Amino acid sequence: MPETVIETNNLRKTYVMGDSEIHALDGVSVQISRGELLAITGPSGSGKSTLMNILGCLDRPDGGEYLLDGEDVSTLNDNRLAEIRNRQIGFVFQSFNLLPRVSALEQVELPLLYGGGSPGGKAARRAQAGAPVGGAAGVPDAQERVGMARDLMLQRGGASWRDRAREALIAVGLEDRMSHKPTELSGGQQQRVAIARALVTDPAIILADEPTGNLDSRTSEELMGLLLRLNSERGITVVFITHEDEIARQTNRIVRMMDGRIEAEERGEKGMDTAASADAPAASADASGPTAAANEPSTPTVTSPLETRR
Amino acid sequence: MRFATLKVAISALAANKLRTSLTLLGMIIGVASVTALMSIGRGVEKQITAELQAAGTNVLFIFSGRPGGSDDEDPIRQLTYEDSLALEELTWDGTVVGVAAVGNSRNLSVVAESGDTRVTVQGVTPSYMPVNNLTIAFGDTLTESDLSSRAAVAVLGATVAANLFPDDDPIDQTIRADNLRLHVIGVLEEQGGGAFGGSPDDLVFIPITTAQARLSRWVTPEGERPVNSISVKLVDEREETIDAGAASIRSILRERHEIADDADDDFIIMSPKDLIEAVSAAIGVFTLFLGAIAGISLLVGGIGIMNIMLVSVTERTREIGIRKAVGAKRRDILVQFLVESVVVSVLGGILGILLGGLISFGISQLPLGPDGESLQTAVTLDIIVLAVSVAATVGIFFGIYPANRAARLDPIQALRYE
Repeated sequence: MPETVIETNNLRKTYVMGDSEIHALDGVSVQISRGELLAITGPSGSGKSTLMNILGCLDRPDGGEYLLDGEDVSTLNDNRLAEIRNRQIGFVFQSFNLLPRVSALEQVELPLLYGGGSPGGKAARRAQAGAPVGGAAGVPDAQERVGMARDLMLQRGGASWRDRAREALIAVGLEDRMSHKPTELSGGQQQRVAIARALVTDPAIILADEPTGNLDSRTSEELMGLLLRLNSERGITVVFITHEDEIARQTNRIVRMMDGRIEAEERGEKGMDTAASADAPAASADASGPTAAANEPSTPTVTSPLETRR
Repeated sequence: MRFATLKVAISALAANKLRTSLTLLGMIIGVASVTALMSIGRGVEKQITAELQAAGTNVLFIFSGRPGGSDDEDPIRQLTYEDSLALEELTWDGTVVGVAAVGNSRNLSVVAESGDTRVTVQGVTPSYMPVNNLTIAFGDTLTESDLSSRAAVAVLGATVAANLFPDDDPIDQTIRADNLRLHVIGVLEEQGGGAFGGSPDDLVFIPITTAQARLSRWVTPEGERPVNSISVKLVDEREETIDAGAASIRSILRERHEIADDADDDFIIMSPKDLIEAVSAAIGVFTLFLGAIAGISLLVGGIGIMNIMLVSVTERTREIGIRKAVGAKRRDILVQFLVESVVVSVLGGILGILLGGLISFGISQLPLGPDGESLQTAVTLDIIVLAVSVAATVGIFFGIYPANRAARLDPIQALRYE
C-alpha cells in the first residue's frame, strides 16, 4: 500500500456573492499517494481551482480536514502556510509566473531563499526523500547518470543554494540557459524554469495548474514529457489541474469535478504502471545521443534531461 | 537582513531608473536644504563664539537674578554701584585687574548740530573701556575725575560718531540727549561684531554717576544705586584663576547682600565659558529651527517615497503573489519593500549631504555682509549624522505603509492580478 501524501475529508469552501452563496467546494474527499500522477479535471466553475488553492496551501477550507504528509494544515496561520508552501509544495502555473528581470538561476533559488536556515540544510531530508526512481531500466547508461547525479547531491552535504538551483535547472534540461532572463527564454523554457523552481526544495507534491495552457502543442508535449519523467524517475507526486482531457489521460488517475463535488474517478492511460511508461523516453534519448540539447524547442523527441547532463 | 534582500531591492530600483531618480531627487533636495541651512547656523555659532573669545575670556560678568535651578521666592537685592566698589578690593592681590559697572542704560534720541540719531546711552565706570578691551580712536576716555564730578561728558561709539558728525570732528562738540547736554570728549575705535548685547559702536558712554544723577534716580531700599551688571577682569584666563575669582566675588557679594548660608545667591556670575555655552545653546536652537523648516521639504520627499512605493506595490502585485506562492512570509515581503524605501531614502540622504555641503560652501564664498564679509558655514559631523538618520527614519516611516500593504496581499488574488 503506497504511503498517502494528501488526504482531504469533506472539504468545504463557500463564497458569498451578493445575496447568494456559492459552494465552490461542497464536501471533497480525496486521497493522493506518494509518487502518484493525478489529474483533477472539470469545467470552469467546477471548483477545481479552489481545490488547487487549498491543496497548495494558498487558501484555507471553511470546513473539513486536509492532511498533508500527515499534518493537518487546514487551520494553520498564514506564516505556517507559507512555510508549508515553501517546503512541501511546488507550483507550476499556466502563465509561468516567473519574476521579471531575474535570471533563471535566481528564479530557482528563490524558494531556498525564503526557506531560511543554512544553505543545503535539507540535504539529509533530500537523501531520505527516496532515491530517484531509476526509470530507465535496461539502459545502464541512463541509470549510471542518475546515480552520478544523486551521488553528487549526497556528497555535497552542505550544497549551496546556488548548487541546488543549478541541479534543478540541469534536471529540467536548462543547463545552458541559467543566466537567461524570462524575456530571453521561449515559453517552453520559461515553464521549465518554473518546474525547476517547483522542484528545488524537494516538495512532497507538485501542483501543475494548466501547465501547458499557454504553449503550442509540440512544446506542450515536451513539457508533459518532462513532468511525467520527473514523476516516474524521481517519484515526485504530480497533480495536474486541467480541463484538457488530452493532459488528464496521460496520468494514473483522473478526478472529475462538477459543482464543487467529485463527480467521478477513473484510471488514466498510465494506470499505476510506471515501468512501461519510462521506456519510450529512455529509448529516444538513446537515439538522440548524449549531446542532444534537451532544451531546444525544435528537438523532435522528448529527451530525458538527466541523460543530457554534461 | 540578508545581503540578498538588499540586492533584490537595488535591482528593483534599478529596473525603473527614471522613477527612482525622481524619488531620489525629492530626498536629495530635502536633505540638502537641511544640511545647507544647518551648516549656516553652525557657521554663525562658530563666528559668534570666536568673537566672544576675542572679547576676552578672562572677564566675569555679574548680574542680578537667581541662578538656574533655584526656587527661592524671596525678593532679590539688586546689584549696585556700591557692590562694584566693594569688589575693587579684589584688585589688591593682583588677581583682578579691573572692575567695571554698567548702569541702567536708556534709549534716547540724541541730537547734534549736524545730525540726530536714536542710541542707547550707557552709564559706565572708566574701567569699562580697559575691562572690555575697548580703545579710544581719538580724544580722551572717561576718567575718575569725570566720575567723581558727575561730568556731563560722553565717549561715542564709532558708528554713533559717524552718524552724528558725518563731516566734522566730534571732539569738543556738544550733543543733547533728552534734556542732558553732553560734551564729547572721545570716540572709540570701531569694534565691529557685537554679537551679544549690541556692538559698542552703537553706544554713547557717560560716567555712571552722571547717568545716576541725570537719567535714573532710582535707589534701592538700602539707599544704594543699582547697576545693570558688573564686569570683572581677571589677570589671566586659566580655569583656576577664573574659579578663584568667581569664588571671591561670590563671598563678597553674599556678605554684602546679607544672604543666609542656606539661601541661594541673588546674583549670577557668568564666566566667559558659561557665556559661550549659553550663546551656543541659543544659536543651537536657532539652527534646529532652521533645520526644522528645511525638514518640511524632507517630509515632502518622504511623501514622494510613499507615493512611489504604493505605485510599485500595485505594479508588482503579481510578483508579490509569486513570492508568496514559493514561501515568502508576510515579514519577508514587508522587509523587501521596506529595504527598498530605506535604500532610496539613505542614498538620497548621502547625495543630499554632498549637495548641501556644496551649497553651503557656495554660500560661504558669497560676499553677503554690508562690507563684503562672507557668512561662515560649517558642515559638522552632527549635521551629517542627523541628516542620515532623519533620512532613514523618513524611509522607514513612509515605507512602512506601502510595505505593509504588500505584505498583506492575499496570494491567490495577487497571483491572479493582471
